[in-house]
Amino acid sequence: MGSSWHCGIAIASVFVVVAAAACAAAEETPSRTFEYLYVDANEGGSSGGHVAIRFGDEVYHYQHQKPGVLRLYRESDQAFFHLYNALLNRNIRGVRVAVSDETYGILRDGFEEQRQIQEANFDQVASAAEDAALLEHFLRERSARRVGARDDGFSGFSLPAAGFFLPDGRDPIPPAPASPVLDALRTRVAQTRGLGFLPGREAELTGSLVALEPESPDAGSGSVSEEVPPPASYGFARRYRDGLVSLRALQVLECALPLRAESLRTGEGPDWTLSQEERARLARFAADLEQRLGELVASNRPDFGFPLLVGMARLEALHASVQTGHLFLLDALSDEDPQLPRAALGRNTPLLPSLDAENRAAFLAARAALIDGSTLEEARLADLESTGNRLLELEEGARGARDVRLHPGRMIPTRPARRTDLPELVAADAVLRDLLGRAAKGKLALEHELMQVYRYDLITRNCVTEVFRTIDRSLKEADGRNPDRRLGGHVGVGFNLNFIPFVSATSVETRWHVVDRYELPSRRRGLLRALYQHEGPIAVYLRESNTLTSTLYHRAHDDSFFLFFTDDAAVLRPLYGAINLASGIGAASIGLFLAPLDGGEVLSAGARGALFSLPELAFFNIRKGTFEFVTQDRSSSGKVQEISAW
Amino acid sequence: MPSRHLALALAVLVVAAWGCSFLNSSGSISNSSGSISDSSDSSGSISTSVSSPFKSSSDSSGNSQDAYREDVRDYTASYVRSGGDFDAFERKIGSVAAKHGITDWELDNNTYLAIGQGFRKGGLKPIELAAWKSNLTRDDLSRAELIQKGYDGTP
Repeated sequence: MGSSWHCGIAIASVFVVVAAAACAAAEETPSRTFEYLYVDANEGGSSGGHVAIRFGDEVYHYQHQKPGVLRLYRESDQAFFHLYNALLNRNIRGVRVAVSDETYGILRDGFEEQRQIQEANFDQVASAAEDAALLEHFLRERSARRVGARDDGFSGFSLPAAGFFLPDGRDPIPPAPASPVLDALRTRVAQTRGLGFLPGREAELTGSLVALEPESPDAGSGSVSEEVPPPASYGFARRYRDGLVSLRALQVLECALPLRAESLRTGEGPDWTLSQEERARLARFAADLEQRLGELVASNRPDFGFPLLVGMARLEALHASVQTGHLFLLDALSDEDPQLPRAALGRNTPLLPSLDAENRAAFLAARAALIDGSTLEEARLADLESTGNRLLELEEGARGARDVRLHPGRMIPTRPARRTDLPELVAADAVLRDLLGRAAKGKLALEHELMQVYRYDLITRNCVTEVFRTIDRSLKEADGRNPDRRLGGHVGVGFNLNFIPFVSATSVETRWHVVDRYELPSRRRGLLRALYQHEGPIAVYLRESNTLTSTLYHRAHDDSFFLFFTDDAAVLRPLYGAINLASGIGAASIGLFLAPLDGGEVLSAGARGALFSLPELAFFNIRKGTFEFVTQDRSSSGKVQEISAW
Repeated sequence: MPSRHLALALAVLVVAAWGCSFLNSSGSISNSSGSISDSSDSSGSISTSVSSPFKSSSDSSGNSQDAYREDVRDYTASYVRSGGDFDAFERKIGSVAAKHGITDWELDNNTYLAIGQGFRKGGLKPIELAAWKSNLTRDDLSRAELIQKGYDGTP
């Protein structure tokens, strides 16, 4: 009995050990890869190089930003390559690291969790700042009213998407004939929910808006942590804004306000013309949207006003398209978006036809995807609005009509109205003052904490160190075993040079389980290779080696002044560097005289030109030139098209 | 070899002088435009936006929906861990959806499926699920079913 019992234990132990080993082996079997990307140096934002981690089509990277904090960003790989490889003209080296499915998930989730915690932490302070600003306005407005005046310093409270129906300011809505489209929607709501529904919901919203109790986070709460997100909070200003947007949306519907002028835009030519079949399909989409908006008016979402306003404006656009046979889109850009000066387009005129062709192709693809669909998919409509607006905006800019408004990524039509007629709160002055004090104090305390937790440091806390810390933290949190085994080795930060981007890339290559590597040449180098294949090498070299005769490079506005490219001239680098140094000093000298006229632009470009020439004297290249615009013929498609071994 | 050392020394100097990628943004931590796009989801260089490439749902509808579900799932999981105001949760779902071109997230089945997945990922216990489903769906049975499906991992 005893012996068989021992034997049983022994067999069981062996079984457990074997099973555990099998499990471990299965767990660590590399089945996926993620990439460590090293972006080499160029003048400008990251002269020391940059690093990022790519999981599938997502790229995570830490960026240093004012006022001295380091933030984790997530980009699509397309956007990342487009920016760093094409526009910023940098070589990118990628290594593919093989890991198990489990490790891949742990790492990706670790970066995403870190991003979300950071975002929530920064959002807390933004929310406190919004609270303080709104409370200050209410108090100023009350003081001004006592002497029969108004808060003149108040530029308005931005109500997203309300700008399609309401003007800025406090002026009442000018009398205009009711919109037949919104009139039909109003009738539908009255039929399904009763005549008193809209006035009743408006009264309810107004009541809760004026009775809103401002609340603010306690100062010095110590709520900023890298490990745990702060509890989700709905700040006073945001609650007020969402309530007010919802109230105004219902009022727009109740008055059946027409769209304001210039809310819709369209283009010329067959791409914008609709066939009978397409018109019929859009009419069906409009009917579906109207039905849905009839439900949205009763939504319990705290911010239902925003989708209601966007939906009503889109309903108008759909009806206009059906009636005219011409595709109309909402103007999805607003004057609050960043603007590109016409002069920048003028400097890049030769590229405009290609950019226009790319935009048109994207627009036509989005148009087909939406109209050929069996139902109205909102994301597809947003794609059509994004591509159509981008196409029209660049066309108008190229005609010299105006500066080009820009909006990165997918657009949603959010044209805001900056209203100054805010419903008054019932809270007494003393309450508001007390809350303002707490909000301001809370904001300062949070800012201080954020600076402590997310401070940037050149050596101990930069874009490289935080990538490795995030990896270490994720793996350690996932299990108590030696995390290095998951990657093949450990790349640490501390008393070593791994804080330097290119050193870290070498460490990764030697210590992690790298199964593949590639290099994506900078835009200029990639184009140069193509030229060498089709033209005589001497002619290409002589022409393209300098900025004066190069056909590939046209000096970007923010580039420093230089004459010779040295990134592809290893042997002649010191000689070219000396010439660049002299030309930089020369440009800076001229810039001294021009400074009163150009605000020091030439002086700055010359001085930077001289500075970035110094490493070239010692065979080290940083500067490569940048591009203001590029076509997407390479690198930005999300696929690495020019891969070469190191 | 000496030139390699020299290059390394220069690189150290360069890093010390300019450091990593610098995002030229407002100088204030608390700057917020109140915009739905104001987040760390893409640093949003304006120079990429004249013909900016972006993942469009027309390129690959399946991938785009996967990405949407993944983002809603991850945020929900984070919310389960942090807790806090329920209205704030719904509002943030609105911000996440808007980045995917969706303003009316209640209409999209993927939202509820992903919320269910997020509940599971965040470690919500089955016994707590019923209350959450009821809060979120206002007792809409089909939406509650979608949350349950997401939670159960049913394809």
